[in-house]
Amino acid sequence: MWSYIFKRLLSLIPVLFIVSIVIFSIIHLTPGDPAAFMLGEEATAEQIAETKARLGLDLPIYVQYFNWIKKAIVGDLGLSYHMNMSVNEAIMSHIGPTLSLAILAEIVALCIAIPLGIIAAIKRGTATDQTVMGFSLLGMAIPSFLLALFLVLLVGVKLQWLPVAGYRPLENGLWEHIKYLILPAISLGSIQAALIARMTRSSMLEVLNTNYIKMARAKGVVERRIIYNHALQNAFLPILTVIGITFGGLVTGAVVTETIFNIPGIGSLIINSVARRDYTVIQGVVLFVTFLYVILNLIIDILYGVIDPRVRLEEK
Amino acid sequence: MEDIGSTLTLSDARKKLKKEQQQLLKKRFFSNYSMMIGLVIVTFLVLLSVIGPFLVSYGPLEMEVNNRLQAPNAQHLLGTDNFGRDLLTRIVYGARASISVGLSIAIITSIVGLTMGLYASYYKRLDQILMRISDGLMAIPGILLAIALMAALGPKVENVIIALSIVFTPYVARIVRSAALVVREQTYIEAMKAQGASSTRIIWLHIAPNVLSPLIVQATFIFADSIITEAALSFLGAGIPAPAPSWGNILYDGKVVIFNAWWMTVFPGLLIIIAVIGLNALGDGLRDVMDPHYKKVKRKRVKTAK
Amino acid sequence: MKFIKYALLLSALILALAGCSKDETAGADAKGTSGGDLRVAVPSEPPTLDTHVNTTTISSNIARNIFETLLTFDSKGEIQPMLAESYEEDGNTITFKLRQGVTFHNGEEMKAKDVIASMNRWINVSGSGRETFKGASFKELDEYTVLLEMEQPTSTATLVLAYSGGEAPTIMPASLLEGKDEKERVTEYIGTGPFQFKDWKQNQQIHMTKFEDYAAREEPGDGLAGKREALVDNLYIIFVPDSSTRVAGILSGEYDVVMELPIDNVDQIKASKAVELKSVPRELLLLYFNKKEGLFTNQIARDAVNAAVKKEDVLKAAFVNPDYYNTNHHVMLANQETQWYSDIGKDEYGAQDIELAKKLFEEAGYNGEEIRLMTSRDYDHMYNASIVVQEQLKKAGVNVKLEVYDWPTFSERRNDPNAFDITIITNKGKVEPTSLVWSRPTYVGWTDSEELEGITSKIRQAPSLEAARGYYDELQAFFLDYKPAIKMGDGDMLFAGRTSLSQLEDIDGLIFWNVSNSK
Repeated sequence: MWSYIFKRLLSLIPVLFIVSIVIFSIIHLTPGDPAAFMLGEEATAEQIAETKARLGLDLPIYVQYFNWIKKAIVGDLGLSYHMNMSVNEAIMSHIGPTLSLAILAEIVALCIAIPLGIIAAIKRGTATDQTVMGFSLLGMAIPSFLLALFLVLLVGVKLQWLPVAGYRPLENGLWEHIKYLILPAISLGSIQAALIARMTRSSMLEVLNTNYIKMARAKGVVERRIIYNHALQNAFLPILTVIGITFGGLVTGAVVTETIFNIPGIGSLIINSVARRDYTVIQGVVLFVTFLYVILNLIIDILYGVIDPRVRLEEK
Repeated sequence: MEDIGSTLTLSDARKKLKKEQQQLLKKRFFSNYSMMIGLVIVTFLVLLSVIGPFLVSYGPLEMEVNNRLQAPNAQHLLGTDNFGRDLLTRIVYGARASISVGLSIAIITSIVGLTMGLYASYYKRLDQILMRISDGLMAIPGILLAIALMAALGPKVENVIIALSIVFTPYVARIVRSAALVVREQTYIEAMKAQGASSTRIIWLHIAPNVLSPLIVQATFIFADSIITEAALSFLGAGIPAPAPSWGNILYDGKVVIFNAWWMTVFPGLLIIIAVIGLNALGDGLRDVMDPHYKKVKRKRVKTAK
Repeated sequence: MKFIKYALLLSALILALAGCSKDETAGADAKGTSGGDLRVAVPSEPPTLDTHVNTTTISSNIARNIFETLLTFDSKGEIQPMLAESYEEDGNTITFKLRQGVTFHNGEEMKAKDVIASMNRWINVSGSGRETFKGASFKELDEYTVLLEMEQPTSTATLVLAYSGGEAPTIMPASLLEGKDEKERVTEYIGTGPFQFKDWKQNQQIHMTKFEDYAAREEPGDGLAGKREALVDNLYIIFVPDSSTRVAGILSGEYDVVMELPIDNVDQIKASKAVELKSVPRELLLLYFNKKEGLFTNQIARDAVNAAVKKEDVLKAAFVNPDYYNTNHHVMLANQETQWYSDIGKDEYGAQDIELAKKLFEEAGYNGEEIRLMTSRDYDHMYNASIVVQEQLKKAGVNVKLEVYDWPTFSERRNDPNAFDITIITNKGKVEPTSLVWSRPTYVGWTDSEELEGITSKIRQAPSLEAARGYYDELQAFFLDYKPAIKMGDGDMLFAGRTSLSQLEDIDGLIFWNVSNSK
């Protein structure tokens, strides 16, 4: 297993290298000028040129790349042009809201999906089952930004139950914190909910068909006990896996959701930085998110092997 | 076998998940309906975008500043937008934009992805290079890559197509490649090689036809994903440039006036959902019909706007 | 064994949860309650609060709660001393007597050396400093007296020094500036103002607190002048780029003050009893010509555009409601008319003559080539106005192509003479006409006219402001004749405050001192 992990880690190097080149070239080919943005709408051409030179933006592009990647390898992503901090600090200060949102979205997804999935499995083939599965299809088809807009319109504007946007850190109290994250979490979690509901339903069905459940039934164990004590426990493994797999998607899916709800997370950071042409931040954050994404995939694969010995990690 | 060392291939766990989804969709009951629903919706959308513009009574850019933000009424069935433009007209023209962008992307990614996948499956060295690049591109979350590309290329319809094609091509290439690898190992291909058939002939005449069905299925899903992603990009202000009508653009304008003009959000939103459901249903249906052995082929989708 | 694996997974989840919550509680600070808070939602985040190196209005608006200037304006627009005790103009020098006992937020007393360090840096690095005070410098006479020496008498000098709407000439401690590259941004914000800087959470908010040792002036507060007093303990400037969120926030009471409200939401805000809507003329809507390359180097072509557009329609597209725009024909803002007014061009303001426009275009040698109208969707006023101008020019037979870019691309391209033919920009009003940006040879459109330079020096070198105002007609006549740009009119900035506030006023930006919040 260790050799497998090592091999996988090794294979990350070229991927990240390619990502760094791709993203660096895209960004530096982008028209627009970080210096002009920093100085404001009435800056003169002279002021802009001075600032560019100070930031090293007048150097040849390969020199700029080399300067950047040299430090990035040891984890130093450079300084933000616009913000008064390093890119590492910027990432740390924006990751909290994104994580909060992703976790809440996952919780929302679980709270909706698992009970629905169980019900659908128990009432297999009935109208209830079909309704649940219909909703799940719908959940997978609605892009989260649309769901977000609809929720804002309905819950925020028409009913005025919840704030339409904004963010309160946890220090303002748990309810304050959650209140602002409910709508974004629902819109972000709907796709996850749809997937988890389907997974729960099918795992339950699979387990309910096994011999030991039939045996339990034959012995006369109460149906509720069968479902909660026997079936659910065994159906949990694939469900946990879906959770793991979809969590990575949540972090990146937050880009648009955060923009709509004005949540100061990684997604907003990147959108704002594109608007300001804050090159170092865009490069750094994309590299970081990619790294996170890739590592998360690896961890899930490994965990799966640990949990279920039948899964072989080594490839033939 | 073909997945050694790649970081983004589906792990066994993921295979199981996808298999699961597919098993559900496999149900005959679903697939028949899927195909039908999908066909009806897609036909409707195509008709809307082709004939629709001739049926509406306004121009997509025709504005009457005094008629701003009117709720749906007899003159303007779906209301007017923040420039006093007729919303129904803009949605119909928007359908044209979204469908043509989605279709172009599906076609381009299919052609480029097919070529890349076929040659990658045939030449080991090339495979290494192409698949590393694909891995790199696929590792970057799709929407981020699209935003960065759009910023670099500038807001033009053609550039939306280019940017999203770059984002989606690796997914097609991978699917074609894995399907082609299976075909390549078949005895008759070995035999042709032994007889001295040219590699171009083998690739295009003998391998290519065998990967067409997974390709077409994948193209349908890319079509749907393109529509969502284009809408998301336009919604973020990085897609089809205003004032051209597109569903994403209407949503962008609608966001500012969401308090007093619900119709600008609801109508284009519903159309996007209908389009996506239709295309996905069509894709699922097609897969069941065209590719009974679809288990071999992983259906990969980019979770971008989602 | 299985149990262990579940436990492992679960604990990973819990750890993730705990890790995240710890992150967020770390920055917790005790909230003061006595004077309450003032929560202000603003549309954008400034890159820095160092007003010397940044031209954005928002930067100066926030910064002037922390930093102060030597001079300032009262509510009538008259210049009053602020950090200066008094000042005296004499030909090409101005002598400033400084107030004693004014302390910076770091406890140091403000003295001549601080003023000299700050002002000389401002003259060297800021756009308006370089513009008005070319070759000028501040010198120390004694600990509390400084002398400004200029190359020539400058009637507009005190106006520019009093202006805090953008690139404000703020006073910082010399210790902060010494030994630093002048162009490097200051990162510690230490001033003499009624509020002191607490912290800045990027993409979220700037937090300022009441400065207990603030040395207020004795005169009663009047506009920006006189006594300033922080009446709330905490001032939060919250960045809310999305305008509908700002609207929702002021209605729900989440924010006490919001800036730059969209005009489409006026009715909703007016309907709320807890919120008071206000507006102030702020924006000059101008159509700029590329006078370096292309068709509009030809003045006849510029005349043709002038004949083709109906200015009020353009203004209406940008500012929607006649309550919030002014069909103002002269180059300054309508609310500055007590100081700067000219009736030249008043009668021709509403004229639109498509036929004349067609004729003039023909005369200018235009034959159907593509005219690029460049705009950005990031600023609604500009974008909406551009859409209407495009339609109007099309009617005059011009093949106009609208090119839309995001703001950073736009701000780069507008400095490129090969990138566009026409662009519409809203500029902020200025205290005096020679600071208006359209007159700068380096600004968008490249106005390069000896005649203009002559008028500019006449105004600047006039013996007094009174005399300078006499040349305003000449400037206005030049503007209408040469057409470096076409002015569509003035637009308002809409803002709103909760009724729990004691007052809310705007002079070159909102004022947050002398405002109490009874919420």
